Order: sequence, then structure tokens, then C-alpha cells
Amino acid sequence: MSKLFKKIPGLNWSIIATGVSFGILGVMLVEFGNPKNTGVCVSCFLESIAGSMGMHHNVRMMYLRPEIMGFVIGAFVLAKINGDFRPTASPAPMLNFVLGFFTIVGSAMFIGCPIKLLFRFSAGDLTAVAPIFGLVFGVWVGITYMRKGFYLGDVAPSSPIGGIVVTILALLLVVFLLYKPSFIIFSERGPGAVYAPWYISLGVGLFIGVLAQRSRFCIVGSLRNMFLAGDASLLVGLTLMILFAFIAALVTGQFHLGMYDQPGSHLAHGWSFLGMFLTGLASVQLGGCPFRQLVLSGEGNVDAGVSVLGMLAAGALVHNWAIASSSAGPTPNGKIAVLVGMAFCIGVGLLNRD
Amino acid sequence: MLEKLSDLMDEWFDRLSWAALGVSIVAACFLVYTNHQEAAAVGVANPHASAPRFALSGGIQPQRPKELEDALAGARKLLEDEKFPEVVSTTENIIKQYPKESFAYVYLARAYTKQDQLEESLKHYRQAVELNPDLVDRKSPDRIGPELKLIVKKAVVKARTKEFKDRPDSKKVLKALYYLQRRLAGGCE
Repeated sequence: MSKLFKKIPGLNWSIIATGVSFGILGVMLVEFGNPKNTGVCVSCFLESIAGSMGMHHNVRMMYLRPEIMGFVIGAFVLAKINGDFRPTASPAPMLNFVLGFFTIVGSAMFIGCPIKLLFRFSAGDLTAVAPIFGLVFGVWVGITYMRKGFYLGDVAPSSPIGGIVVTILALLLVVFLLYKPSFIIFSERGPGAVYAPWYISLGVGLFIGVLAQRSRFCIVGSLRNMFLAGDASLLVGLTLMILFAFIAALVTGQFHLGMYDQPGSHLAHGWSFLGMFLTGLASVQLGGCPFRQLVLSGEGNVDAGVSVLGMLAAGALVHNWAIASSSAGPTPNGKIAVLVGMAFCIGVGLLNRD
Repeated sequence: MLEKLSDLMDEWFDRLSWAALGVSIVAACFLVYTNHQEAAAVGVANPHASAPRFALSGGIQPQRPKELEDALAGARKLLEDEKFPEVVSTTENIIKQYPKESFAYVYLARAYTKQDQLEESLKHYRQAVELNPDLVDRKSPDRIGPELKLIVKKAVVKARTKEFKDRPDSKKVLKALYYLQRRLAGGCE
């Protein structure tokens, strides 16, 4: 192992532990009760949280997913202990909000965020192949803008309160989950009513949040670092995640190779490609995938916190505006939203240069 | 060679980006226009925001009018009495009046199944599940999942036959079959 560490500078135990744990625990969450092929999905879970808070009316998608709160709180706790908690902000909060919004629009087109994309792929879902190429292409385009000077402005220290807002919101949602106040709605049917016991979900979320804060694990970041600097350390974590999710899916009987009868999928491969292209491009411009935004918001990064709020808003609007795809395929509104998102992100890449 | 290609790509990247931006905007406008045209033809403000919204909102059926309840009970009785052609005509009449009533499609599909018309049955099961996703939900009292699983299993075998492939509507039936398979598989949507 030490030889591998020498060969790949930057690779460390925390990256390996994150990749392995994420792969195994994601699949185990399905065993414990989460929807099929959806051990962890930031976009689906944010949609459920938005629904539970009454932000959309899809009664099948309403539950306060503790994994999301766990990621934020876990990252916050370790960042505080390690002295990594640094409230910072860039001068482009609205861009962060809108880019965060479009990461979820792209994910809603495919029915899953980049993490779910990999879980679906490792469970044998062949409809995840085209969007993997879309994600990689989106990251490559985003990096090319970076090479050409894409820049959202200097990051400066921010007020500590600003850096802790998303963590407070996460803690509040945990309290709501446990005490179930009347204004919080929980689905009685549909995917919102399919979940692992809250303490397992929260425990897994906290554990992964802690590991990801330490390792800086990020789906888009691993590709970005590879393309931009030839740094394969995070890519090793990503590969391990896919490998161990595949093994866990095989062991638990969740592996099912095929294209036509996969849970929560559709056959519009072109639109799935474009959806993940949008998510990849917007994520590079934000500095990390939707999962990484949650972890960064726990570390006090105000930009990531604003992105998370944008993602939450998108989680509501993809249902209210009939943007989210279903097994029947993409909706016309979803196609329009993805195209508008692509135009926006390309425009941002062309016009925001140093 | 690769270096030259990379340089050329670099040089053209911004131009291609502007082109992609333009194409995205034009394509989005085109979709908005066609969506609007479709809406005008149907006569509602936005068919894609209203019709699937009902389905997406959890398939909660609004309170059925008494007339509809009676018509559905009549169709159920005809099904029990195995008067399948009458079930077809009754449910088709219900659908004309109440196009969003998922159980009318379910009874129609059942009538076709009993008459060994699996292909027709699949199309109507698809419409029923699209209108009311609770039909394949384990926790729903409306659940028809087990019945549907058997139909889908039979259809998968039939879909491999030459007779099926020669049907003019085989693509549409396959689409319905795949849709039902995905719905039965579960997932987060």
C-alpha cells in the first residue's frame, strides 16, 4: 500500500476509507430500507426534504432524509475539531445559488445526482452509462473554462454566523425529524415513505460526512483534479467506491444487469447525457459536486451554503414545475430547463473570466 | 498530431461554446413553442404541467362523483360476470367522460387480459399507472402490483415471439412493457 501512496501523491487513508465506506454503506442503506438503487442521492433526498418542508406538492416525495443532515453536521464537527472551520465567501452569491439550482435540474433529468449515478451503474443499471459520459464531458468543458480564466472572484473571510447557517438548519431538521411538528409532512406512500431507520441513516450520514471532510471526497473533484493536474488521488477513492458498491450489490443480491427494468430510470439516454453534462459543468463552476457542497457548507463555506439553498429550491421547483423525469421519460419542461441551464452555465463560463 | 488537435480545439473552444449557447437557447425556445402549440390544440394552459402534475402529486384521486362510482361498480360487476366486451364498452365510455380515472383503465386492461389480448392490456395498464403511481406502491390499498407482475412476466415471454415482433404496434407495446417493468422495480421518483 505504501508503494501505491508513493506512486500517487496526495493519496491517503482517508480517501481510501471514504471510497470503501461510501460504496458499502450506500448499498447497505438500501438493505435497511432506502429506495432501490438509492442508498444515497443528494438530489432525490433534497427533493424529499423540500417536500417535507411543504415547498412542493408531490406527496410521494416528502421525508426529512437524515443522511443529508448527517453529511453537514459530520463535516462541521470534524472541521471544528481540526480547526478547518473557516467561514469564507466569494463575491458571487447569486451565481452560486443559480449554479446550485442547475446541478439539481440536471440531476432531476437523469433521476439522480452523480453519487446515485455511480450507485446505479455499480448495481448493473446500463441506463447510467450515457450519463457517465455526460458527466465527464461536462467536467472537461468546465475545466477548459477554468484553463481559459474562469473565475468567480476572490474568496474572503465571512462572518462566523454566515458560515454556520446550513449546519443550524441541518440540526433543526434533525429535531423536526424526531419530534415531527405538524407543519412537517411525511409521505405515506411512494419513495418518500421508503427509508432506513432514522438512526442508521443519520449515523451513516455523520460517518460519511466526517470522512468526506477529511478526504475532500468529491465525484466531480476527482475528475477535475485528474484532468487539470493529473492528480489521481481522489479518483482512487471514486474507483474504490464503485468497486465496493458493486461487490456489496452482488453480495446483497441488488446487482441486476440490464437496461429495461431498472428502478427509477428511463430510456432517454440523450437527455440523461445532457442532464449529467449540465450537472458536471455547473459542479465544476461551483467547485464540487452536490455532495461536496453539503460537506463544504458544514466547513463554513458560505458559497457552498448558498449553493445548498439553491439546490433545495431546485428540489422543490423540479416537482412544482414538472421538470423532474420519471420512468415515463423526461418531461417537456425538464428538457427546456436543461437547455436553459446549459445556456446559463456556458454563458457563465464564457463571461466570468479573470 | 494530438498536440495540433488540442491546439485547434483550444482555439475553437470559445467559438463552439458560443454556438452551443445559441443552439441551447434556440432549442429551448423551439420546445417552448411546440409545448405552447400542443397546449393550444388540447385547450389547456399547459398540458404537461397539469396532467402529469396530478399523477406526480401522488395519484391522490379526488372525491369521485356518485355517477362515476356507479359506473365503476357496474364495470366491476361486468368483469365478475365475465362479460368482457361489455366491460370494454363501459370502461371506454367512462374514460371518455373521466380521462383521469385510473381504475377505468385497470378494468379495461383486465378485460383485455381475460380475452388474451395482452398487448392491449399492457397499454392500458401503463395509462393507469401513469395516472396513479399508487397502483404499484406496496403501501397503497389500491395496489395492483402482484397482478401486474404476472402480466408483465407473461408479456416478457410473448415479446420474444415472431408474432409479437410482426405487430404494427409492437414498439408502443414494448414501451408500455418497459415502463411497467421500471415502475414495478421501484426506485426513487
